[in-house]
Amino acid sequence: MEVDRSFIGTAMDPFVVDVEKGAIRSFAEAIGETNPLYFDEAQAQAAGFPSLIAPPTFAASFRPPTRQPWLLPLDEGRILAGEQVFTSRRRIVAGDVLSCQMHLVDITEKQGRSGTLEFIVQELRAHDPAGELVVTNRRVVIYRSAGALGGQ
Amino acid sequence: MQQNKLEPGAVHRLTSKPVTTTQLVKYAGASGDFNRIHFDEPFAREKGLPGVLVHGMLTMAIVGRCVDDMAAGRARVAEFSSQFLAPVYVGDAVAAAATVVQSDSPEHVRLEVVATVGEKTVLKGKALLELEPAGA
Repeated sequence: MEVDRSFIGTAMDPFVVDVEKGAIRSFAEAIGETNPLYFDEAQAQAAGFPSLIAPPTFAASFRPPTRQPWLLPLDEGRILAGEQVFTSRRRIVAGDVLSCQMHLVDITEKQGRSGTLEFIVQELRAHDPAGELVVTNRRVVIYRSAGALGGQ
Repeated sequence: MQQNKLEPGAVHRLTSKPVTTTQLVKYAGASGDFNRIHFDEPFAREKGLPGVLVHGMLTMAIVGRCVDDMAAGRARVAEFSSQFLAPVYVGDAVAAAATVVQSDSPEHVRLEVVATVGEKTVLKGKALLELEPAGA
């Protein structure tokens, strides 16, 4: 057990994400998208949206301004992506102002092929100014003990 | 826009261009994920990896393009989940497939998604599309 269990059930300070057109375009371009609804505001508006809409995994870019305190003592070279779940109640649109908060939901562990794997379950929740939940981004990261290559 | 059928058994496929280090740097910038195993080869090797690893979230985003094609403006991606099963490296082309499975509601379309590199399955997941009235 290398990850501090006392963080389970805690959350970081909320932070605000201003969803900007440039950020949507940069993200869409980086993932190889060409859909005009992510690049061309006039086309997005013609399709009935107030502005550019964001790709389904855009909330991956909603990051707290400081690193999660439960990850701070860990060796970043041993952190791997395990599982990811996005849920959305509505589309994210340029101009949205979202209040985001990162929660540590749980930490579990199991034995991998060559060492212990710890599963850190984190969830980012984004609310609009009316308090409505817009998206959640649940991310399970795997922390491999030194020398372990498991989880892949 | 091309409309794929959303009946059970319908499949949509998409293969990415081989992922480049430049793309990883762009994704790092756009997503804020600056873990050095995704762009710093000596660092990645020091950590016991054979080379620079593609962000799992970038692989998922490529699968998301496939899901998005299926939604094609008439549905919203309400849920999208992935498990990362094997690493993807620079130079790999990611082949994504989304298959419509039986849904329990007429307003929703369920998809099973998979991504492969060559013969190897690198990601498996699910998506739930919520159908929208035209122009919503």
